[in-house]
Amino acid sequence: MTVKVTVVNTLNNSSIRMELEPYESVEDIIDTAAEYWGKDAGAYVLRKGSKLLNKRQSIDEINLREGDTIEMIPDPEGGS
Amino acid sequence: MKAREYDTDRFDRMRRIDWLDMDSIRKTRCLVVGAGALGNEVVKCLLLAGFGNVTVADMDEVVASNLSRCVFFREGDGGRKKAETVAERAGSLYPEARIVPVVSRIQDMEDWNFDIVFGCLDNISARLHVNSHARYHGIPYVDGATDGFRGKVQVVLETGPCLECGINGSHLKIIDERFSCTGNGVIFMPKLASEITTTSVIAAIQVREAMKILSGRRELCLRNVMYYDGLSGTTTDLEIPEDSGCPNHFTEESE
Repeated sequence: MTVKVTVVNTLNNSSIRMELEPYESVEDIIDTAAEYWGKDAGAYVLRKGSKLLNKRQSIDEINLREGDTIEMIPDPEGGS
Repeated sequence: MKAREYDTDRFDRMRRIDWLDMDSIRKTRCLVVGAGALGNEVVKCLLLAGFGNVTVADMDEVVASNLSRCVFFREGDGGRKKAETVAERAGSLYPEARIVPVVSRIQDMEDWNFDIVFGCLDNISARLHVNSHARYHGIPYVDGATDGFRGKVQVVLETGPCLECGINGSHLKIIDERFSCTGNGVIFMPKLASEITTTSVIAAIQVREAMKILSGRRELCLRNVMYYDGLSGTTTDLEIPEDSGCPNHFTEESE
């Protein structure tokens, strides 16, 4: 059964509604959201509450429910 | 005690924090990987805090655009090796310290006889290399990263999630790309924004985490990844689940 969730872009607080199949993965969400927002190549992570979501986990495994909100956060990689 | 004798002890004010193990801090063999903005600030904090044995590794050379963030670089240092320049200038902060420069890619370093490692890097590939070596050798690894006014710190101990547990396909797409600096044989991304205040905050937190680890206060360490937003002045701790497919953990289990 599909679930509809909201993905928030933390850089500008814009959001999209995404319909996900149970077998789809965290990585699928990142790819779709990054493509939707036309993001430059860069590293991103997904947050649900106080947890970062593991790339290998499926929608089923992370227990995403209808109406949940997850946040996409750019992952800093600079330092020089 | 003579009047104001306490003012003759360089570390008197630190010793007043009774749980800080100043002897351990002095003896600890530190490896700072990267001598750019974060590396400069980490080395500064280490020496002021009494760390007496610091190795700084970096293959790059100083360029003018480093000068807005690197406390040990000066006009006229252009073309000098960053690691050597930091080692030379940082000595004046704590003359008793031993500071060793290593001009090398971290991937070419063979000596891992250190007690703690600080990641001050600008690319994911090098970070993962340091992460896996530190993990393999059982050395605590304190990684820092910045992007403009945002930054993060992650502490990787002998057990629990490591840096690699938190990466996904978006990291792998840019794994060999560098976000700043100079050097040969690398792909250059558009430079990431960077400024000194966020760099200072992240570097200070890295060194503070090391002080906790070395003073037997591991229970107070960041065990998750800490994200810092300098615009709102807030930090957020996010839990990283240990990835059962992470090759670093696979190595541990098979030993």
